[in-house]
Amino acid sequence: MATFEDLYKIRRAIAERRQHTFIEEYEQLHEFLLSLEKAEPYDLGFETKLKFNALNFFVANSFGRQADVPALDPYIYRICSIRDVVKSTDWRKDEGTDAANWMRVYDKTKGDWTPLSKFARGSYCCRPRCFSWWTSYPLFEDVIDGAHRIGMTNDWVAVQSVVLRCPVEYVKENKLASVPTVIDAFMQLIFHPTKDSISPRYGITIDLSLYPNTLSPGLDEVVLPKLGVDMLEILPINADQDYRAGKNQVFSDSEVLSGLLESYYQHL
Amino acid sequence: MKYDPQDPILEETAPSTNAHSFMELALRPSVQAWKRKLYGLLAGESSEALSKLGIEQYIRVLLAESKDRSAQYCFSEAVAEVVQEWNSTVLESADRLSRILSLVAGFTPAVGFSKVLTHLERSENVKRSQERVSDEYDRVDLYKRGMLALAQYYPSPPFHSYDDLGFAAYRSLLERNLEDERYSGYAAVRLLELKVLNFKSKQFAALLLTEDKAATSVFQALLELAEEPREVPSVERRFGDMLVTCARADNIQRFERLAQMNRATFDPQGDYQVFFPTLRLSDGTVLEIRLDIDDIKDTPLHEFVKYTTIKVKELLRQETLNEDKIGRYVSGYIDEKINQREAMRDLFDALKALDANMRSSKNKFFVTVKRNNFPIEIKLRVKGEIQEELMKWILTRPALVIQFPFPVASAAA
Repeated sequence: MATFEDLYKIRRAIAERRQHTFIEEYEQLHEFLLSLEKAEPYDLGFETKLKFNALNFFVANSFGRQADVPALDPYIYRICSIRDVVKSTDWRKDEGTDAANWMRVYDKTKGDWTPLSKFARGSYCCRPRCFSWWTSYPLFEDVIDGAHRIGMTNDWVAVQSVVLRCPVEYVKENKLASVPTVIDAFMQLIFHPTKDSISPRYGITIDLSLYPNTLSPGLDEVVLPKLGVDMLEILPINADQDYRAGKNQVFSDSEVLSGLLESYYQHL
Repeated sequence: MKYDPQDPILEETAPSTNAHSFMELALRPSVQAWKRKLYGLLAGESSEALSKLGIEQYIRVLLAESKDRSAQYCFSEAVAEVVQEWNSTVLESADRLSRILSLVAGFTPAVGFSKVLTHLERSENVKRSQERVSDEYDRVDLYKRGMLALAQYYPSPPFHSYDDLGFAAYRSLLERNLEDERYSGYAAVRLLELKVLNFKSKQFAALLLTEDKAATSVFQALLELAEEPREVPSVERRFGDMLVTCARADNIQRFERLAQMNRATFDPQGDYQVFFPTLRLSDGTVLEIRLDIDDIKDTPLHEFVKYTTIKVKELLRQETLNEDKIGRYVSGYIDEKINQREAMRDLFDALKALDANMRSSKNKFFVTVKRNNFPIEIKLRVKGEIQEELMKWILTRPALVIQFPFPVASAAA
């Protein structure tokens, strides 16, 4: 059975092979991780993640080359919890619980895409590093299925979820998207490092849809820096027990998943 | 892979999991396992899922992913026990306190209310308003978080609020916080939501005129409420109450400044079409401020209220009649000008010119307007002392009779 530590070892080797240009920074992150007496970076609490801000290069938004978002849809999307949006923006009215904040969004949006500026001011800045992951796949159609396609497990999808969307045109015009790198994904258990040598136009997710049989390369993904709330729209989705019923269950702490990831990474 | 706890094949082949793992608890919940998990969470257990979701969503996802029907029961029992075992009079670390408050706010176990209330009452002298907690980037106001937890128990006033000791204690806590600039805004809005504080009360007037934070928060809360179309008339009336309070204190500037602070523009005369004070919001929306003319008679606001037959005509000419406005405006006109012969004659002439008239029935007064050949009656509010005088006017002015067009039976029938 592969442990997170094993997976991290493999990731380091892949990083060296596929994204050699970042290896110096990657090593610095590794040394810093060891100095915190941690053997792997996939189960860190928020406080520990924050400590990495001591490394100046890590605080900067992203490291990848500029991405060319596929224009399959006029928007790119992101799944997150209502809490993530409340904490990452200047939220107008915190009702005190995720459920109540989500309910307020749901009441006001009536289940339709609504400008985020109706609920928040300023920018959307995901802490600790102030960038976020996006895909052109319409995640809102089914957040559990969508999550699997972008390499998110069930236990990372909030019940009180929201999908955010941002116009592709705006992203392109302002050259906001970057190809995700091993540095961006240093703390991500599930990540497909693209090959530097082919100058990829965008990153690739690892598709968990076929779990527990296999994992496969998934969809496009890019990272975006801090975004003004004026450019974002929000759609609340209640991914409760009924919503999840009958759907594939993939948990991040599953040994089967670790085994599949080990095998996937070994073939990269 | 779906887990069916009663499927022996799956049971045999299911991957072995760590007894404390997310997956294990989702698949095989028990009160003890949940309790162990909750204590682990309070002690600062970390995982990627927890880091992504926070304690409340982490638990909700666990419950949603659990196929075992007893999961919710096991969790409810466990959370009640864990909160019961919390001694809320002991000084806790910011981290632990923050997590307990999230747990109570998110899942409202019965015992949670009194625990949090006790905690807040005990900490009134030293409110923990700027604490660093490990799972959040910005500093956290734990006292406010406690108040937010209590609010979950009383989203609206209880039916028998005077018999509810918990509510009484909650209300006193909020009232005490009206004195604290850091929390007065939140407390004022909550007390208004709970219908404890009345917009027309002296207590509210004092807050409005002297407490910047409370007044701004209330103003802001009303603007937010006005985003819901069904709430607009009520919000407009409440703005009217606030404006009257400011006007009575000879401080209309106060209302104007509150509007500015909320990126709105106060116009005491209002739009010519609207004729009552208005509030233009930053997004261009215009709210009317509804107030009773009687309430502003002796205030500086009265200078802005002007009655003319031009406006009467304008209102009556509109394709869709705004009965509320017409009723209020014509009533105000009569009230102010009943002793001015010329002005009253002008009013009746204006009505006549528009095929409208005024009539009385059983001490009630109406303006009748014709639309699509049907008479529409708009009720007026005429004070007792001027009713007789108005009756004289009605009786001495030959009114047009607007007939109701009864259907005529056809010859074929």
